[in-house]
Amino acid sequence: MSTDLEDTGELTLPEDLEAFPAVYDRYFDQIYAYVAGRLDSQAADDLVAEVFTEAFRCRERFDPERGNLRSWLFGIATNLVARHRRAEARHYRALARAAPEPDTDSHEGRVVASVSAQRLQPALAKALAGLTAKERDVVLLAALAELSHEEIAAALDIPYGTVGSRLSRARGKLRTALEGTER
Amino acid sequence: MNELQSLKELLAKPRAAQEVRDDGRHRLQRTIHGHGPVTRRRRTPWLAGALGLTAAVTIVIANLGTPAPHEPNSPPTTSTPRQVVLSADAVLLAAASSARNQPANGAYYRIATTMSSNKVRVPGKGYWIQRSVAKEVWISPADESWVIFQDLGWAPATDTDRAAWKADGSPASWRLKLRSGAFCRKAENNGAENLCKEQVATTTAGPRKAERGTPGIRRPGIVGSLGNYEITMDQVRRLPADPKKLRAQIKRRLPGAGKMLDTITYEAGTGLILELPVSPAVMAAAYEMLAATPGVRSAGEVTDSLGRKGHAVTMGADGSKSIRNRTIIDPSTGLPLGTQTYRAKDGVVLGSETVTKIGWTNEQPDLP
Repeated sequence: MSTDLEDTGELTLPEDLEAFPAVYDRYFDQIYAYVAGRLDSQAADDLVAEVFTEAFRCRERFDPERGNLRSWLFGIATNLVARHRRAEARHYRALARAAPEPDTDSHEGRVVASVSAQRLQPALAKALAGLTAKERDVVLLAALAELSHEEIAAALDIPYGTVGSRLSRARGKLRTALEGTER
Repeated sequence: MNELQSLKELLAKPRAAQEVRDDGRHRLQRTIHGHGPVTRRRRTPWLAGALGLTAAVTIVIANLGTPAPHEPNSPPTTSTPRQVVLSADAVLLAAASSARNQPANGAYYRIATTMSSNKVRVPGKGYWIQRSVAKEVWISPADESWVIFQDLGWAPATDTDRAAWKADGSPASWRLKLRSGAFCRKAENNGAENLCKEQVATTTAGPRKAERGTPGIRRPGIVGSLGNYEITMDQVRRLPADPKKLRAQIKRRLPGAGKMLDTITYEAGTGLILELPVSPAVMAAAYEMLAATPGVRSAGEVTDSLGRKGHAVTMGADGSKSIRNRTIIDPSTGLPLGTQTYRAKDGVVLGSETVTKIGWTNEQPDLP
């Protein structure tokens, strides 16, 4: 594997196919965190490898003028996640149930941040499940993958302006849900 | 309260286990090597266009998902495996015994193949075309190796397709829209067709072109790869002619293979038979090693695109269930006839690499 690939800030698709696994090594963790966050770890175990094999198969269609490699990979990951909508919904429902009621008498319970984070979790998970699929794609690419507006636009192949409007709508819905809990 | 940060905390997951990471990496490597022709052509810029072969692979797979009234077009004689006559063990052990009679010396180890891309259906026409590339690898122990390539252009895939092509006025080129794969499917949903590039496929063959070295490898002494690593002529010479020792040596070249060891050993073993300048004894040991590898199965008797009969073997646990690869062997000579990608449910061949000549020879390359 060529190490020169790892030293550059922005990877592009290697012409040397033997170096393609370097793309895998470089982006595996980021893609895994994103896919595991949206589905669950077990589903991600399988799906993340598929993201990279799909990228390899489709590599001719990577166009550096349309966006960087990272956003292209997240675009592929998002499309693959989309085939598992039911699993994704199930995952969020489980998160909405899983968070225990905070024990306000305990020492930990008095730590405000912890209390609010814990209390917020079910509401947040429920709100997330309530977003439209398009809003969820945008908001999770921003939150989990930490893509910029521009990268999200490239990943989802939507106009820059659309990213902004979807993101603010999604954030608005989430905030409303959170505020409802804090009150 | 930043809701993006909260989302991140809510959905945070531990990092993937090393096993998952290795497993995925192997799957990727197998995908890369599954497109053998393309992989081998890396670092040969004048063949960059031939990478279209891989794009074609993707199209056909996508097409298979939808009803396609015009397929299969392959006559059954060239595509459908007959009933299984011999077990994989019997085929491989017979091949091992025959291989020992092949010449053990020569000025060059020659591997001549014709690679055919996966079939692509011509839009609006219903017949299938595929692209072929001829490749001759001449490996010299004296490190005077050559690869000669010729792009043979696109042509109707089968006789049936050829008839349909003639009825279509025998066009010399086609506009193909490469659209498939997740990225492009999404593009279609959004109506953003421009992501799916159009390609002009022509019947025109290119010139023969020669390049020093072995395919894709310019470093002196390297004659190919075995397992995860490149291999020199000296290392090939030292490969054991004993199946158990060969397996052990290959295993050392597959670190982290884990539970996929058998599958990857199968790939390394078939790769050795198809691509490395080995002695007849080592080729025989590789067949014996494959015969003893769990999961290796017969894929029936196959007549290849040149009308030659052979027996195919495949790895049971390998990758996709619907699209599979098989290696065709002629047990009477012990030589490989090639590899095919085929559709599991009906045996329709999608793409292939056909070995026309392989082994030690004192002939000289005809350099363009």
